[in-house]
Amino acid sequence: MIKNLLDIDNLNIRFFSDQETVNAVRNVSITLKNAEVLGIVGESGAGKSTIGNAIVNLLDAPGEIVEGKVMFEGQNLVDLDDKAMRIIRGKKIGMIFQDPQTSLNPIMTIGNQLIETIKFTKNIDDVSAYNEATELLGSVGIDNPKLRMKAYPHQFSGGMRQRVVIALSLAGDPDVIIADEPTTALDVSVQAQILELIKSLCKKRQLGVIIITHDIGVIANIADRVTVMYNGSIVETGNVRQVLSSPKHDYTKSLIAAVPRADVKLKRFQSIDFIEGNTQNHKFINLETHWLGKKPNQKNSNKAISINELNKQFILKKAIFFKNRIYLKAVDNVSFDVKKGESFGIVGESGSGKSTIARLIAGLVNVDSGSIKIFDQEIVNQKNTQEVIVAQRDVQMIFQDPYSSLNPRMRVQDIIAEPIKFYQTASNNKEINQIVCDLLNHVGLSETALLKFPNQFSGGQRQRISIARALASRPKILICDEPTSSLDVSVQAHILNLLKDLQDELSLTMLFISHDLPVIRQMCDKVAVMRKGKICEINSTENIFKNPRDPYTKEIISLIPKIENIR
Amino acid sequence: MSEVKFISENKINIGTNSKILLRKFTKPSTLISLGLLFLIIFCALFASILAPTNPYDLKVVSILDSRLSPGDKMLNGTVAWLGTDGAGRDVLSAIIFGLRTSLVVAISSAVIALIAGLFVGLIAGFYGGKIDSFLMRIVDIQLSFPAILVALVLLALLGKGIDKVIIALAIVQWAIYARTVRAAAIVERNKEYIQAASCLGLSNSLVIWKHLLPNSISPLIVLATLQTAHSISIEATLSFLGVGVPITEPSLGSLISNGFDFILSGAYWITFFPGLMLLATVAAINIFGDQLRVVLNPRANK
Repeated sequence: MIKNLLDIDNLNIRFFSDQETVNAVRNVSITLKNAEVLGIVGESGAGKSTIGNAIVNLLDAPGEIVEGKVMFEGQNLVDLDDKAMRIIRGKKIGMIFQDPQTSLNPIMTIGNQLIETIKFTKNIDDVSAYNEATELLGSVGIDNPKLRMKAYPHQFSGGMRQRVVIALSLAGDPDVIIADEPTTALDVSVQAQILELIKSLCKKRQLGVIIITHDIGVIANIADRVTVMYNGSIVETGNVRQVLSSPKHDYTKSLIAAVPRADVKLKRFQSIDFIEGNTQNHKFINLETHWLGKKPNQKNSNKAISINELNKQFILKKAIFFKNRIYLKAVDNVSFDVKKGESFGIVGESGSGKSTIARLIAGLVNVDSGSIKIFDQEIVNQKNTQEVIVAQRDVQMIFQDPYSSLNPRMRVQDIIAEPIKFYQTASNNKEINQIVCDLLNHVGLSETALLKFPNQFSGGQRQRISIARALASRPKILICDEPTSSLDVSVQAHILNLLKDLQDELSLTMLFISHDLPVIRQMCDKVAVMRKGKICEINSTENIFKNPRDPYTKEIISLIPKIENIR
Repeated sequence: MSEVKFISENKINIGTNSKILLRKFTKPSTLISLGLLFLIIFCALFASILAPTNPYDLKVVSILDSRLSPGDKMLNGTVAWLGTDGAGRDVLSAIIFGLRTSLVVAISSAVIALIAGLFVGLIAGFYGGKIDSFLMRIVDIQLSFPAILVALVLLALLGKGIDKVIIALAIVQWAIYARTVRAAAIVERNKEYIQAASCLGLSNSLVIWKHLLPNSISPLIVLATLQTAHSISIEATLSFLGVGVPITEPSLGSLISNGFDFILSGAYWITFFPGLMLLATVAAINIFGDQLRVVLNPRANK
């Protein structure tokens, strides 16, 4: 039997502050049926989480529902007081949050947390609550639930914790579950399992599930219907297959086009213009005459980076005696070569050592043993001769977090000019200013940015500034360490396009590090798959994606959330 | 040329911080403490103009004026609003001059301690490892002794004089600054912009000076205000104990100690008014420093 569980009618939410009033949610109407997964997708600032919080009356202080109804079982949830709402939240509507680490109490056993919740919602005695809790743990796919009842949250992995959170949200036999980015903090392989679990629970228990995410891949995998949000309003709602295969609204089209595809490599991301509006594309520079193209002591070697039996371990547990120390092998006997002008990708899950390799090559971390050659110049354990300094300057890095990779106390022009001034590669201030302007234009920003501070820019713009800073030391090798993982898909598409263009123009060699396989597919010619500090497989991108040989590679390739199937 | 527009990303407010700062500073307690602080600094700066008499001019001071009660007229006709001390000095004038000495000692010792602490803290925070452990153990040792005790021993070794007191107070205080800066520096050091700077090949000293220092210094602003109040009271204690500044250039502490002999014979004012001034000064600086902390703390900006 299909019925409407939740009816949101013309919801309007505003955030009031001294400076301005923000319409976070505008005229949103959503219905949720039972045994249905409804996906709400949108980029940051679209208002999707605000809706989730508003349904259960958990809006943060300056936010207020100014208009609209949330009808649930004949009641308008907007009108309920705190006490009535607490009962609804416990028994009728369950919540799953993004970070399983913080949504569990670290000093209580999993069992006690479940029993407490069950007793609160059902009014039953300890023994039957215990039995029910064990059953619940089993039903969310945790092996040996009786034993696991006694465990504390820190003894669980991220994926298992998220299962426990799901069990907790199911404890009161709710009718509706709201999951806010439930898999964002998890690795791909775990993500697939959790999504599968949520989907099967939804069908088995006839639940209505609202899943809020920025990831279209997740939506494609799990949702029955999808609502696309942009800037607080709904732009499109409909069946997943229909919305993803033939989107009607321009925004939806752009959003889908911006998602990197895992099946084919495209030259650039096309038709993503709706999102950034009147983007000024980066200006081309004539390298023959420009400062950026001139570079002293060019070395002609075909091998840009050559790594041989590289090792790095970190101390996990300190001790006076060597035998009591515990080490983590972050990089374990790794060797590979990167040809000049190539895009080399390193892919792996968190903790696989891929970022450590980047830092070793950039000289930010000391090498334990092994050799790193930049254009045939050994840089490990060398004296600071001119050749070594030049080789190290040829390598520049673009970091993951655009919010911490720029000095917040420096103006953009000083940030970009710093390497030029330090190495005195330009003759006078006038020339430096000209170069800084050109670099800014080159990465798609205008001169008005020069005198601003980093906090006046958005994440994507900051990443552009980072790129400009890296280019200012005229590198030949660019290491990109997850350059887009903290950005929205549309912004990611623009940054990736920019990197591709820069690589073509400046004939850079690129080492591209990411956990995101589709991004790797779009960016790289050759890929190394890493796991626990070791390289499992190195091959051309085409081969890795079409005929993976290593069992681990096969597994991660098969787990990529696929929109293409629906497309 | 138009600025690139990112519709999908959040708007960023510019220039609202100063407004919030201003509004925070208009709380009554802040205003009163700020007003008092300005008054105190003003008095200290223009002591020789503002004070009714010059208590150190032996030509003016007369023993016949000794121990006049507040409001009595002195021989030369000026009214001693707060009375006179045992040597016939006007207490009000002595307080105004005493404030100057106290503030000079407190502020200069705070500045010296801050620079030393900043240096040590940045080095420890930036390099980490053994250097950090070594420097922080010194800090631990320094902090495990009571400040007064260390200052007493130092003054016993160094001898008397304002400069000696300043040195002693700076040595007592640098460790607190060092530890605070180190904590801030470690947080900043692990941010990617420091790594980016190293990646550009900048020298360590340049990275510390241009990148680490400007970003680690903000907790020190609050600490320095609070520490200044603290060093005023340490200095007063030392002077009261007789090892601080010499009596020829009295500070608030030595004024208090100066009147202590007469307190039982009813001449309370010689001790009481300098004590009140000391209380007001320390309280004003503390309240101001506290407000500064609230204002500068980004989490409190609601």
